[in-house]
Amino acid sequence: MTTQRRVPLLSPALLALLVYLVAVPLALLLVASFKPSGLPLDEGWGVGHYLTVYGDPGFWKLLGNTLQFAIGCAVGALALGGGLAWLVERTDLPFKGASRVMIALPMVVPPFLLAMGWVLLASPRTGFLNQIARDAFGLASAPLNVYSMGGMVFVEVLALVPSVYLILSAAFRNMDPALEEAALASGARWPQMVRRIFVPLLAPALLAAAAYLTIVGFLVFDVPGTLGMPVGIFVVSSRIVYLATDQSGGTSAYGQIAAIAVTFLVLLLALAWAYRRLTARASRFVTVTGKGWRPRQLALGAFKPVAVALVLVYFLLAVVAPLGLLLWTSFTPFLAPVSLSMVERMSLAQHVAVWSNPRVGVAAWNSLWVSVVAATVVVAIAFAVAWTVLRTRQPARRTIDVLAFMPLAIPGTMIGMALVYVYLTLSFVPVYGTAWILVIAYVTVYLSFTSRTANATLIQIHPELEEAARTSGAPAATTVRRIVLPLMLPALAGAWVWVVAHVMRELSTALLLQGEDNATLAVQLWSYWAGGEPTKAAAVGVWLVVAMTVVTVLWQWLSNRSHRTVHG
Amino acid sequence: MAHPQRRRLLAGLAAGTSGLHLPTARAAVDPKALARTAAGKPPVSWYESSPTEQIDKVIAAFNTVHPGVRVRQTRLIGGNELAVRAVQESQARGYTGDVLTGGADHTWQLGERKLLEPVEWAGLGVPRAMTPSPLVMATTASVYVVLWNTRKVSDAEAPRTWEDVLHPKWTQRMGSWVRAAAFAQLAATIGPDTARRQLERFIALKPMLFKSTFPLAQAVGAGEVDVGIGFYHSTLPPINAGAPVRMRALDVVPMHIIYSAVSRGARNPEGARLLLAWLSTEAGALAYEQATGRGNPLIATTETAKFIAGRRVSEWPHDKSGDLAALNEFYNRLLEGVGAAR
Repeated sequence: MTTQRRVPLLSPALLALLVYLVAVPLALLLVASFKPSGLPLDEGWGVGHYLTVYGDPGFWKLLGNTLQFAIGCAVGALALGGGLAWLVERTDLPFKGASRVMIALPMVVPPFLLAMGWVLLASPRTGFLNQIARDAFGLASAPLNVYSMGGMVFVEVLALVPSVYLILSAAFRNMDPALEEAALASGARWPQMVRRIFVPLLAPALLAAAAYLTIVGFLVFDVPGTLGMPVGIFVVSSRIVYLATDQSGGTSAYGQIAAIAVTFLVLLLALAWAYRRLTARASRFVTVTGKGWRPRQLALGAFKPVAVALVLVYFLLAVVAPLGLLLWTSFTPFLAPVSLSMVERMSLAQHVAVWSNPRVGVAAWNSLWVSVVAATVVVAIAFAVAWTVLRTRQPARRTIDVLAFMPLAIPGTMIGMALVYVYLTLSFVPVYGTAWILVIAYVTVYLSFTSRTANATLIQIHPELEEAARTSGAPAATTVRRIVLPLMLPALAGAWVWVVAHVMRELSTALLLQGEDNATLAVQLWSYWAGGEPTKAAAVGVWLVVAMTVVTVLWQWLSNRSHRTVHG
Repeated sequence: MAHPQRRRLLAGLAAGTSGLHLPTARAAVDPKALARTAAGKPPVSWYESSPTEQIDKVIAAFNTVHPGVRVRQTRLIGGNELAVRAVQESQARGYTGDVLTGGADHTWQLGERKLLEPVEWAGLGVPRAMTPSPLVMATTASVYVVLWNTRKVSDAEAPRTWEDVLHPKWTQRMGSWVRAAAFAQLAATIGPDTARRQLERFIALKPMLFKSTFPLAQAVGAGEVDVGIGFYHSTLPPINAGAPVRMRALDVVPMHIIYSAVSRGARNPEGARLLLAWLSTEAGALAYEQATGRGNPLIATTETAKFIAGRRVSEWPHDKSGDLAALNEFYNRLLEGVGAAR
């Protein structure tokens, strides 16, 4: 672990970059929370926003709802995503390439379209599934109700599974099978093996996933806004959206939003502290060593059809069914439940209208290059963060680790507000109002996820591989290029695809940073939706999914090639 | 509620909605000279929240009259974001969008911060009833309507009065915007206490709540809810697409006027004034309405004015925006109690 001397400038440069990307918006957020108007450059100071937010009994009720929602999502997504990751990476499940695509693909579906699809499927009044159930079984009332806390958790879990899968699949893939073989040879049963081997070895990845899911559960609005709000189930994110867009008085209540966000910062700092304590002795989690090995593939035997069915059912629920409804909507002239009477009114008119709109082409191009550039930059930074934190003894490495974790707690609206100030002030950096400001925003926003993924992967790789290379005279750059990167490539490629998909669908920051010419496809989709044209929004959504399917298949192909190269 | 400006505005509305053309002030400013100056300056930057494709059509119509004056829209997602962006930009670089279009509370907030430029509207030929102050000009409005799904509710059964809306037969059949702004505006006419009692009866119907009135209108079209209280302009898209939806104005029509203003420090103030003067004309208002669905109720030939013709309208005056904000907050909290009502 002597990297410190070989790359002396990496740590200060990285620290400076993270201070610029993360600490500046964080500082503006904190300042905003103490400003009477919520705008950092306005006059006056006070704690009024904290008193307003935390002195309101309604806020604590919202927090109660949000805790139910966030914990339900975290537990559900960890169980389902973890189970699917294990099936794909550690068993002899057939059609693995296809399975990986099927599990990862839902991340491209914008959550509010997923929620809309499930309204059309499982709304008590007009839901397709409820209609079928009523007709088939003569039921008096609808058996499914997506407008409920259970419905919210169910749909959000479907949306979150790909993220969990991407964090955990690399960790499963890099586990040394010798430990499992030893346990099985010693007569250990499966529950014992899960408890004594899987959970301890996967702890960094599990904690990273749990932290991510918990904070996302607090901040996400699309699903609670679509499925909870109609029946009066409000969560903290509903309050944040209200304060940003609907608060009376003429301006967004950034002060109160910032005061709420401080709760997330405290929660995240606690999680970061727990993560650091857990991973303090990194050697405990090393599973990739200099010894040659191939991941153990458990034979599923008679359970193979059940495992295949589980993957298919997830794909059906998260993609096929809602996407089918999305496709249906994109062919209809207005939002309508599935019925024979609508079939004769179906046409390609919405798709033709979308593709005839020159602004859609511009937005698609913006989305494409912004997502590719942001994903590449953020993955590179995440790799540098993981390397610095785990492979050097630079004094700033803990600060770097925490800073890279922090953006997760900053609501997208606050990142947008902060960047507007930063780039209006730094007028010599001419990015204000352009698509480049989105690149900077997304690098900041998605740094938490990618740095956790890179960290959880690198922690499993024993430094002895790099030490052997250096002993053989390889410079640091060659060691990284020939040893570390190939071993981390599947995880980094997964994180890259994850960022591309999330940038493609991200809305709140893109809307807040809109200029004259930097609209993205997600903004265009929202524009149709908010302008009363959900059928055109559905058409854009369909093509977004098609594009991302191509990217996901490409990722799988590259990932398989890299896997074959590393493991022979 | 008596207030001179409110009376003036409502008198203007009454005149507009009864089909009369408003008296137009004689233009003291030469539009051609204004256009020549504007053409030599940067494009007029217009902060507006309508979809860009819609505003493109408005700008194209404007350019048929003033071809040399370039206008670029920056679409901001709502009035609050527009006001915040204007404040941030003014603080950091000294200027913001040239024309700012938002609700009464947004323009009021910007006026309080001295970010709007007073304009001599009469000199531009803008009717007096459209200009409650030198800082703002009424351009369009969000008009509340009752809408219903024609497959679930007959035209005869659909509500005609607020009393009809509050009938218990609509329990769990009603849809609403998640904000109680209709009742807050209604309070300008029937008083805050009566409006609050009506809101409480409305809440007892356990309405489904929607983030915006656009998805509400779509939900009515899809049969998700039978009846809703929405906006005229957001109900038009499903109707135009052939959905089984109809709408009507109630006996008292709550309404939010949308105002436009020229910002202080505008880089093309001449172009900004020219654009607003054009929007105050019949041609400008109709072009705006055709593109966005939002019409100016003060111009008798707009569909919006025809829609509410003969009805009493209810809206707080522009300078009472601070009081309205407090009422909105209180009513919104009540409406959020729908969860408990269920």
